[in-house]
Amino acid sequence: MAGTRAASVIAAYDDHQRDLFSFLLATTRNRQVAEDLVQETFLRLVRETRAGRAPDNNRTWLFQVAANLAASRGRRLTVAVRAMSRMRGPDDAASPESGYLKQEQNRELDVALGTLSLDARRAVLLAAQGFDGQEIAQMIGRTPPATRSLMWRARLQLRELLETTGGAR
Amino acid sequence: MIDHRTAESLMAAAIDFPLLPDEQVTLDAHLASCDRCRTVGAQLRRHSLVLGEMATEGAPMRIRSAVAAAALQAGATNQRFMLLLAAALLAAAAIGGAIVVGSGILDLDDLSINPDLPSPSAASSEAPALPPALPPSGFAQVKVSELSVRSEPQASAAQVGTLEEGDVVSILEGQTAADDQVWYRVRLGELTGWATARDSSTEWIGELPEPSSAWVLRVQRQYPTGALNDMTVVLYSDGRLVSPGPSGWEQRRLTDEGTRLFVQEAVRSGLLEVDAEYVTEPPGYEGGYVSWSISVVAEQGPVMVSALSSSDAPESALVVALAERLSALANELPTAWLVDADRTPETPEVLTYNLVVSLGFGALGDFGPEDFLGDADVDTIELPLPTSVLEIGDPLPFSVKFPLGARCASLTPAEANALREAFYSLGMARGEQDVSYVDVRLRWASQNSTAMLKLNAVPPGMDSCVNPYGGTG
Repeated sequence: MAGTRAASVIAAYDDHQRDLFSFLLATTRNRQVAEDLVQETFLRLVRETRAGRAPDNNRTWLFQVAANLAASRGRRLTVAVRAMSRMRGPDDAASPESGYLKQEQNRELDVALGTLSLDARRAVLLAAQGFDGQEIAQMIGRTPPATRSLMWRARLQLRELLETTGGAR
Repeated sequence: MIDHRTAESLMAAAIDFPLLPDEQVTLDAHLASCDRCRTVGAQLRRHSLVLGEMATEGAPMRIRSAVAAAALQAGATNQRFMLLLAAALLAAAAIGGAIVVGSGILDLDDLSINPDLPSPSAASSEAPALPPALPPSGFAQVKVSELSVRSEPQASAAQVGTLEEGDVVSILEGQTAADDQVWYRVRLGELTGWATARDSSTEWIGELPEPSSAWVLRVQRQYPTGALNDMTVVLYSDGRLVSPGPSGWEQRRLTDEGTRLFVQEAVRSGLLEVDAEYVTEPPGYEGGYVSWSISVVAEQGPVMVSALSSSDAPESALVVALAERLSALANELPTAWLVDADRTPETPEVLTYNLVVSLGFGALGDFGPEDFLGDADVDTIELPLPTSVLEIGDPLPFSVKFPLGARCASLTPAEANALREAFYSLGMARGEQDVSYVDVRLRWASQNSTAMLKLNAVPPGMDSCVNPYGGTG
């Protein structure tokens, strides 16, 4: 692979890995799976780029692939044996904004998200990444009306949970 | 008029989709007279924002390493195997176990070639006139099923070995007429001697065929358990490296030297392109990522080749990593490739090996230039360099010596301690910074040359700068 193409993949990784990994963590609710899927997502980008099919919009492409991997992973749970320990990067360290309140809020959101179906969860989380309904429909392979229905139900369900538990203030 | 539930659903839908004009009108009418629903709407929008502000978390560093390795095709792209290999290597070094070197753990002695496949042509059936002499320092191929190698150019001289059909030999001397025969002094690996070039009707040693459409490599790896995993791959002239599947082709077992000759010839004839690779996703391996890559490593002098086979996809994957720097070497041809043509194999040569370990420190994303495939990649990739790269192997407080041909060498307990201490002192010196990568290489040197073999890219488990081997520091 030409160095420039490799560089573009690595740049895409650096630009999007945090959002993508956070999205996969929240969607799959399983750290190990999220790690596998984020790696697989970028390896697919490597393949596409090498084949001369670099996506026009890396961010959209990456989230679409990740969202589909997250869904298909629900059908086929294949988690590679972790024969090696994890490498902890500085990125894992506590950042200023991730204080206690943030963590607490995350926990409540996480519990609420956990009550949604995987399909609804990934749609709402894609929206949280800034994609609009039309884009999400395309990314998850549903019609816009079906996606709209999926999402408003999910949002109402989240509201009920969060307001009754008093979270998300 | 719509009810509260409908109003709520429209407000929730409006977060992601524009409402139809009708919907907007009816919703607005409802909200104008419903404080409760206005509150719900505000909550829905706030929750949407909160979701977008959830604390984020970066993926572990090793995933970046894996992606970068795949993108760069720096050696094997089977990252998990590479990491395991690296871990095993470091662990072995740490406990004074065997450091298994190049052609040891990655057994390339069994790399065999037949340079004239798949077209079955080479042997000429008609009796040749006296052919022109094969050039000294060139290469030739054995055309008969068995060919004796003798100590002198005489049929009565002692037989020192046997060549087989397809063997690629280097021509050291020739042609010499003696004993009613034409003789060449040839070499194949450790075997050197005189062989007859032809009998009255058939050429026994002939020119290496013109570069054909493909070279076939048979690569075999021995696992620590003793199990063998072998695979045939075909290197096409356009640089693709593929597996032809079951093959009846007769394979030749070649030594390291034969492997060198192969790579040498392949590069010289233009068969081996820079960063030749073939990526495939075999049937039944959904989601897998299998890649072979081939390149050549050498700082200078002899070419060292290595092969990696995948351990987590044994059904399909064999990662052949014949190392780095192919483009640089291609420019140096041919002289740089003929280093030890006159080495005397009867005298066991002692090579000095040094384990060269580089540690990179710094923030996430730091990669050392050594992690990249070649200088060209380094030039074109704009990544921050590590804040510092310390090399403890140059000079390392010890060196490992073992005779040519040995498969592995062991560190003595004192040597292992020295390595541990070097790591530890580096870690202490760097304070709180994490080790972002570790680079382990073998450098070996003889009178003629030095060369370097990269053993791994990024090992796992280096999650802090304490003694990486788990001691109490």
